[in-house]
Amino acid sequence: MFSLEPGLGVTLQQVSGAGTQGDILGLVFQAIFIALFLFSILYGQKFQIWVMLRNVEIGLHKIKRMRDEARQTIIETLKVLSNKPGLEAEVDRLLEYFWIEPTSLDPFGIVGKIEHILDTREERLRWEIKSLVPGVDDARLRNLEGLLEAGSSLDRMYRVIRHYYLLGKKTMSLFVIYQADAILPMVLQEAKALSAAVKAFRDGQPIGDGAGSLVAARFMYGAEKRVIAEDTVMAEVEVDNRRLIVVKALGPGGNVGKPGEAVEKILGSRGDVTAIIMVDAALKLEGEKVGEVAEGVGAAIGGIGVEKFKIEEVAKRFRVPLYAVAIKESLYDAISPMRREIYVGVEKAVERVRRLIREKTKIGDTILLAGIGNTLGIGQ
Amino acid sequence: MPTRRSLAMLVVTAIITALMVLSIGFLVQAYSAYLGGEREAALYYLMVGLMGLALSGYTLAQTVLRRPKTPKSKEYKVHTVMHCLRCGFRDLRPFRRGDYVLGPGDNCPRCLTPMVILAIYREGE
Repeated sequence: MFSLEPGLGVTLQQVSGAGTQGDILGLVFQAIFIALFLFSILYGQKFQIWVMLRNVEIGLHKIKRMRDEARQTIIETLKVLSNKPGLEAEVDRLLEYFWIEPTSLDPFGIVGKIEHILDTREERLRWEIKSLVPGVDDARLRNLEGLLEAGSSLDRMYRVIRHYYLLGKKTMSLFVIYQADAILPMVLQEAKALSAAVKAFRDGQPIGDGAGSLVAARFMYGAEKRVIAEDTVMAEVEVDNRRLIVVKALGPGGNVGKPGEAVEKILGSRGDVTAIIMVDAALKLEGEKVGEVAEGVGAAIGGIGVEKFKIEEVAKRFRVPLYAVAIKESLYDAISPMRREIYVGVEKAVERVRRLIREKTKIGDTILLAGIGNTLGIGQ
Repeated sequence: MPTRRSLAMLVVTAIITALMVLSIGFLVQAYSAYLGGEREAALYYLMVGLMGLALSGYTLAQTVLRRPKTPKSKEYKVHTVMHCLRCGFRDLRPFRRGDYVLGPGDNCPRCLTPMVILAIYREGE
């Protein structure tokens, strides 16, 4: 047996034979090994930083490719509809469009402020698209808006990761680089999802997030519809001898509508609503199956929280119970073309809503059903 | 651009190359020791040589040789499911631009009335 502990040189000399050439070679090897050992002690961390930096660099490169691809798709889509010169520069300008969150130092009234800023942003973006593509129809306008938003998110993602990469490279700070390296897998997942969303918005294909909207559409098909709030429609149908008021975003353009405002108006104008049922796509946890349907209570709606706040407020004011039905899916599924499993989940959710109506309400009751989500590629 | 080779990369490449040469040297030593009848020494050299080679090869593959792959964006096969409200016939065809759920579909091959698009989805991953 050989000992690699103290006296490594002696051991090497012993094993490498008594010849002079073997001695010299052994000494050279020892010297190099000691040098590598010292290097690992003195520069080990730097080497680790370098490996992480390289990882971030590769991730950054992937995001850049996705961003460039999305930008190209947007330009090509707009070129089909418009022959306006300088389209590329206009697209670049729109991709960098931002919104500033209002201050939360005094949180009172912040929901209204956020809503106001988001409305202004949306209005401005639509105006920009209309000036690029004059005469564009409403459904296509909403799709172009979604397309630009997905491209804009990818662009922002690229710029933020690039910032941390360059900052890390400049400062060689382990903590800066470590943070960027740690969040990179999640960022890449989101970037891939946005990349798929760009194609869905280009072609007008329903996305996973539209599951709730599709459930509502199934209930309101064939009934007379009317616009109740901006980009939001409602219809009244009869289900199991109950009156069902169904609300969803106006399709088939890529819209989320204003379900909060719609629920506020309906509950405010009639006092006979006995229950609110909300159906939405929900982010699944790892290990859960796509398209699984779960039930609960509360306002099933995502986003920044403006619509959720409104629905919760009005439900509390009129003391109407809020029931929630969720169709589970991953973030990638939510913004990429709808998977078959989600469609199967929609069928299950329709049955679950019917059961909920039978179990929680009486004959003759009025129930409000809100199908939440982006209604891209889904009519009514 | 980020892909530019830096001094750090050159230093790391040099160190890994040195380790690799050293490992190959150990393997040569192992061979000559084996020919000289020193089996224990040969085994020792072989072990050190292989370890060094594995370590340097792995580090080289993970750092210097690693190049960003061009991500392939997925093009999904999206289907449109149509349903005839009169005779109940169902049909499936590839998605066409302009299709939307609950929108008008093709004519029913059985009763020739326009079908309704019931669903649009993609298959699998």
